[in-house]
Amino acid sequence: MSLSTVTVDVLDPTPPYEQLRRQLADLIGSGVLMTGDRMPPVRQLAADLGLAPGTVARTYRELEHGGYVLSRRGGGTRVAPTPPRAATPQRALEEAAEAYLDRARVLGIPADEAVEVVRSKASGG
Amino acid sequence: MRAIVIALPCVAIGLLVALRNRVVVTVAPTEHGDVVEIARHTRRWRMVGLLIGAVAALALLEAGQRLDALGRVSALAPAALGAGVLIGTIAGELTARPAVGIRRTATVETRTVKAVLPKALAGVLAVASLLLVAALGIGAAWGSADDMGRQGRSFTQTCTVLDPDLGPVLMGSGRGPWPGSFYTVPLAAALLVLAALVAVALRVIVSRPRPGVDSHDLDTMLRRWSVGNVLTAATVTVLGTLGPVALFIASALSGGTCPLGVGESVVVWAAWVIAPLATGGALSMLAWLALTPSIRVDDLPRPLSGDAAPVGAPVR
Repeated sequence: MSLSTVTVDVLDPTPPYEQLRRQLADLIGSGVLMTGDRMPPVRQLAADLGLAPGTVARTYRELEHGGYVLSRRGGGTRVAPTPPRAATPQRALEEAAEAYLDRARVLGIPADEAVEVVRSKASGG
Repeated sequence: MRAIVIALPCVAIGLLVALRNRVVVTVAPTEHGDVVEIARHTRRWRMVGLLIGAVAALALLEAGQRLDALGRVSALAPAALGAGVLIGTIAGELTARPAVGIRRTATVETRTVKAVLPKALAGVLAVASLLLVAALGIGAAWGSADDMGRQGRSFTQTCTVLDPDLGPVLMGSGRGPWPGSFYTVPLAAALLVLAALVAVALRVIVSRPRPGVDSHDLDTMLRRWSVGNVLTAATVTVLGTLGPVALFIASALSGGTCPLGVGESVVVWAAWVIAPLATGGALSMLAWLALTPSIRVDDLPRPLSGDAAPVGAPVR
């Protein structure tokens, strides 16, 4: 059984709630999380990621505004019946690449060097 | 003295079975560091809780003789033992925190108690709890006042016996101590507190932060063990209370001047069977509680003769 995971990098210039929102939207949009699937409770996900519950709560609010999830008092948060399917794997990869290049820019690394690092990693270096 | 003679073999058998079936998972020194640390931390707290619970139970047994010679305080000893373990477990789980780094990964999952519940143990606890509720219910329903007017402390029977000389004679007898409302009210209150502690303990075990995704399966196993320990502690309390309650029911129903009805005969027969089984089971499970599963870190292999030592001359 493969596990769906989300990762937050606290040094990333993108705020943690947005990193989380993007990854969860990708998981929903690409069909990994299906309609009706229960999302992790806010406190549980916050504790697992070492974040404040408010950060995860904001992510869920944003996802709800985007039509990805539905929250019900006492019933938890579930994937919406018809979530947006815009986040194709190709689009998700492009967003991840944009985030990676943003991070490289913050670290003062030119884009071509950053691409070289990806190529080196892909070839097992 | 007689209690110790009965108790020791039960504890010894429990220890032997627990030792024989003890689960020890071995991991490499470089693997699952966070889970190993959490396992040690929660185990330490659970053992502290067990120790405090045992001291509290002994204190209640001892002080109970002086404070209340009728045994109401002493009857709470099993609940104090269980509460100690549960409070220790809650403290351990609440204070166990895996290290957080710059990159933090979490599994998208909804953790539930049901997913880590040992079903056999939960079944044993459910059956034991039902029997205890039934025993306390029968005790409360059939109890009457004793000769000092204390409600629910005696079992009273009346019947008409045909005397060869006098003809029909109304006979009556009251026997005790009977586990009526005099005892069941404080016991029920203590057991309700214990049930609340069990619920809190299960909740904190499930919501404890999960260490790295690489240790997912081992961490799930650790949670299952912790839930198992909580259920074991609750079962020790329930059986430890049920044993004496059943014994008092059986003793009070036996040996009266009036014949027993069908319901009373069934209850007295069941109580004589349940009393030793529950007491022995409680003591055996107490031994299980001391020998819970654990994670062992495999030692690094010892250097062989001639291996290059990290510092200084080669090992000879």
